[in-house]
Amino acid sequence: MTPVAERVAALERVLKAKGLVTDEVIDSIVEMFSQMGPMNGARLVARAWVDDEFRQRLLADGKAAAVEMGFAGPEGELVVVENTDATHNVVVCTLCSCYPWAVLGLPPRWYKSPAYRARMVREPRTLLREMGLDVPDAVEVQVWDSSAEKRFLVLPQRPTGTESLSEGELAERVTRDGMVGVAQV
Amino acid sequence: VTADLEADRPFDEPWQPRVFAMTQALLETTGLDREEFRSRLVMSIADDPKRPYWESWLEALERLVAQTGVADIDELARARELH
Repeated sequence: MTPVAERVAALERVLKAKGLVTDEVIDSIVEMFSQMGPMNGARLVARAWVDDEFRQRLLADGKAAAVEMGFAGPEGELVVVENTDATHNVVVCTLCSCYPWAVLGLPPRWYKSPAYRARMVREPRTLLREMGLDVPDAVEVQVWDSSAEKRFLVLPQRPTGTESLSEGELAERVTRDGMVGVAQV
Repeated sequence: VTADLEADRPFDEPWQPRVFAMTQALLETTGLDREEFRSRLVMSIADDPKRPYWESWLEALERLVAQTGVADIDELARARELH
């Protein structure tokens, strides 16, 4: 075992001895989180694209709309921010790694990196361009800084030419990066 | 959803999902506010920005356990020495 793995094992023994955690609970939490992922967020986005009343509920109270679709998590408020022709939204957690687990799963490595956390606030357009997204000058970039209590999901614009697609087919088009705001859908 | 999902999985080593799940379990059983953990994670990352993310997470969890009286530092040290 590596030294850090030993530290984890030692902590685990102490917490188990106190009855605060058990293998069953740890396994069930790992399992629960494996069910959370961008496929959940993609279903919210696709539903919002085809059902305007759902879209309004999603924008008014993201957490309630996510729970309505069966996606509940331990986090606090979920705020859904909508991309328009005038505004592009992008999400960051400048201090640590807050992320909407129930709808996107656990964050990828780059989201937790010091470079992303610092630069997305300081020079969002430059960083977005490096990540492959060129936001036109006429479009305002709005950066949302997450916290433990408030986490964000971007509602991307529905791509043109998708009028004939079903809700399920639309959900397959939605990407995690699109819902963080570092890519277009 | 995207092709790169495999490439940036949230965990690299088996202890990482365990330390994550332990944190969630502990917050649940003790009723500690999530902010108690989050504030320590923020400090732990700020203390050593180059340290790998999950090691900062572990450091924050150890501090939470010691500073909220769940277990004391000596107890944690002994648990390490015993094995």
